[in-house]
Amino acid sequence: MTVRIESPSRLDLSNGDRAPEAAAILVVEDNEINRQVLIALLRRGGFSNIGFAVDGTEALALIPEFQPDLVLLDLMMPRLDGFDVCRRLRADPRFHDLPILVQSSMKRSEDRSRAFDAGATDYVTKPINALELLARIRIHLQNRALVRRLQDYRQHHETDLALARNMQLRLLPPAARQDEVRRLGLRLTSHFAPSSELGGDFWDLRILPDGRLAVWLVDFSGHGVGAAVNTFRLHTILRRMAMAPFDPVGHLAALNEKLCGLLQFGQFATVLVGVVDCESGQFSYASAGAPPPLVWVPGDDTPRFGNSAGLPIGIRSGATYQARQIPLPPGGRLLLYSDAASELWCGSAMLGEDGLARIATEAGAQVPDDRFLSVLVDRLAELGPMSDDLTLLVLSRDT
Amino acid sequence: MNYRIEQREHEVAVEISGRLTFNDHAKVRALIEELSNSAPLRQVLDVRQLEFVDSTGMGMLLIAREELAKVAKTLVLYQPQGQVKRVLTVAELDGVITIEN
Amino acid sequence: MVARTQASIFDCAILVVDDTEFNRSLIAAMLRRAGFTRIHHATDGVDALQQIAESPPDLVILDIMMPGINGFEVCRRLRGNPAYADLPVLVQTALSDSEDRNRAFAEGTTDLITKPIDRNELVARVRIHLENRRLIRDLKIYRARLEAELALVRDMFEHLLPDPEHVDGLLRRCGIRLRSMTRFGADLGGSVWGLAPLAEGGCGLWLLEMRGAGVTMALNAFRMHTLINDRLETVDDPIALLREVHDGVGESRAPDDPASMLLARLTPDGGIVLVVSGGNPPLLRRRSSGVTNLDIVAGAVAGEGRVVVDLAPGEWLLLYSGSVATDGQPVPRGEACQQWAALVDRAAGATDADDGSLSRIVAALESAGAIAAGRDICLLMLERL
Repeated sequence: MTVRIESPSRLDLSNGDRAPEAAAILVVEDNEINRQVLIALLRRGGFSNIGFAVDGTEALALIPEFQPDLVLLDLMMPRLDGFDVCRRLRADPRFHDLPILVQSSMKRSEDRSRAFDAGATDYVTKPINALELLARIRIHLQNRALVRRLQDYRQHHETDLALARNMQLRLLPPAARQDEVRRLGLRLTSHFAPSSELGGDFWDLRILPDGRLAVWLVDFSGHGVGAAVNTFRLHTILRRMAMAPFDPVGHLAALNEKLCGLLQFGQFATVLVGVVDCESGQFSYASAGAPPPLVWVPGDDTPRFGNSAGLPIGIRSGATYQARQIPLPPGGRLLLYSDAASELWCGSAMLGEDGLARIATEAGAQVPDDRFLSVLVDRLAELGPMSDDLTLLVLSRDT
Repeated sequence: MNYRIEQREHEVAVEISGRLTFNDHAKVRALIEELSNSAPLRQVLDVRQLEFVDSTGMGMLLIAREELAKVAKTLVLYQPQGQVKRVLTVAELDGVITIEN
Repeated sequence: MVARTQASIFDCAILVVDDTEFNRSLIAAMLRRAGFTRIHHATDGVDALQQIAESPPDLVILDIMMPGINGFEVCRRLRGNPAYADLPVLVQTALSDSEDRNRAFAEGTTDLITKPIDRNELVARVRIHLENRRLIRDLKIYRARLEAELALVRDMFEHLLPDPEHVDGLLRRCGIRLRSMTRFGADLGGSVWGLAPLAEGGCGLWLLEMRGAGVTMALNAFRMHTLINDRLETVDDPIALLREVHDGVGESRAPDDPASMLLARLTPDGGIVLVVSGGNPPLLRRRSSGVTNLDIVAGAVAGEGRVVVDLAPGEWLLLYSGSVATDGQPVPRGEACQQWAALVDRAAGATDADDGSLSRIVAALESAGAIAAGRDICLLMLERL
């Protein structure tokens, strides 16, 4: 038996809509009679949590402790006037959004402008129209309650997601392992950018016992937290799989079987897994519907596309994959990428794999290997906003 | 994504246009519901005007096929073009979903 | 608020509704001079409502006295449509006309602009409302996106639970009937359980509880579920598996926010070997004499606790996640254990277990305050056939 509770989260319950009348209001007014009139007016309007200050200095001292939801502020006061109170409150991040309703007998346009410039939220002119003042107060309080609730929601989740994002970054190979490929005569650069806090992309590399380099680039369907969950599962599975002898085709088929047992229907991943063999100068790989790998061979004007057709993993048990090869001679460069790189929209047209190859070729002609990727990423960013998780891996062979 | 349903004698034809992405989840659910409840056994998704499908969109097509198979109906993708055709080919989905070119 | 002015509010669409050409042009000119670029005009109430329906603006500046539908009526109709509940509507009135001013607020206006219109005040008010609207919209977009993401994860969580028919088939071979109740809280649930056939025959049943909440907890729960599933079929040393899970969890979690796990190996001859990690609440068994604590000592870190249970037909064993017994409190020990067993004993009643037993136990525990209502929980009742 499974029961699902459809209530809002606990957080929302604790911050549920309070009646605006429960709000704390601070009246700042130096004239005793005016102050009493305002307080009486607020009481008649149903407000009971009312504090007061007799000038600006006292108001500023009181506010952090009283924590008002709204300040009703006079302008002309001894010691510190209302303009300065506005300015000082706005300079304090804690009171950026605190509604400040100025009430003043100053009727000139310049005074109102000055008050708004100083940070007032609203301005009413004396003599006070009681109904109007109460209506304005309620509008500000309701608005503030809404903003508060939404901000609390975001703050609560932002902390959690920041931790989760760090966990996801730790799934990727540590820098030390990336440096290790240098002794194989290879240079690896990578770029990993989920489209929101978390994403469905994953990549990995291992130096196999026989000295070859194995590399994975995985893109789970969807993005966000759900897709990220699947990268954690894949990472757990990969860590437990035997890597020797390593054969990309058999490995991919085995991954598919494991994922088919775990993933919900409609979820899947495209995977490209391959081995760089520097002795034979080949990149041998298997692909489950990943974007085609690109290789620049020294002397060629244009890159070569590897065939990458194959059923994504997690869709059908028993799927088989093909062994494929593409030459990667000394001085050659291999680019693996998630589909966000080629499915980038420039206006109403999609960049496409050919467009990506063109941009990457231009970038590669201009800068050395170690800067190639950062230039390519900049070029892609110039084209338009990325709506999906982007991962790019570049493996360059020394000449 | 937008769609238009046409009931024919022996099949239901759904013209799908625009981009099929993550954002269309609710629409696709409603569409699957509608197709599951319509009588013809053959349900044709006319995707000639569909210009883009992302991975979530593809997942939704797989779910649609599965849900319709559960009620003994066949889902057919009719004449995918451009990026949609390329994605379906690279992912070898012609072995999973019926595609008519 | 002024300090946080974003350039983007100047791209917001503003609809100026006034039947006097002169006023429309004047207001538009003031707004243009302040930098606003998308200013549209409506000549009366009907025109305004039509334009808003076709392409909703970000803010409306509204005159009251207009032929046909006046400003009050426009305001009322807008507020009657949830789609425009948040649309800022600024009504132009004379300062002296307090009746109009009060009525405007009563009809749902957001703010008033006093005639004759002062440029500085108009611009200040427009900016304040547009900034506020943008802030709320951004926050709402964030919330909607995250809610959709978390709903998917919750679905995936539910999908982790084994298929009831599969469970029934496996357990009947071991002479056991399983009744389970898994309840997901509104925050992501922290308990997950599973079942797999063992290579040696029989099957392995496990229950994992990750304390804590949110996405980080969920990621670890999925990770551990994957690890346990991958390891379970060949498990010959359950304690080693428990340690492995413990270490896996420990890698990325704060030590004060632990996970607890229990593992039951069910053999075809009806034997049950239970292994539990630290942090587990006392497990319960029901004999004809009533419900008692299972005599099992949990290890301090990873499951040293192990016990072999022989159930007679009709007897049952109750395994559950820590939140059931403790609800955030320390795990009951000593005398508290006896009270806990007595509570479940009363809740279970004198009759044999049936399909409603778990619901009754949960309801009784909730009303006794032992579980918070709405708390995510998981209970597994293993009954010997």
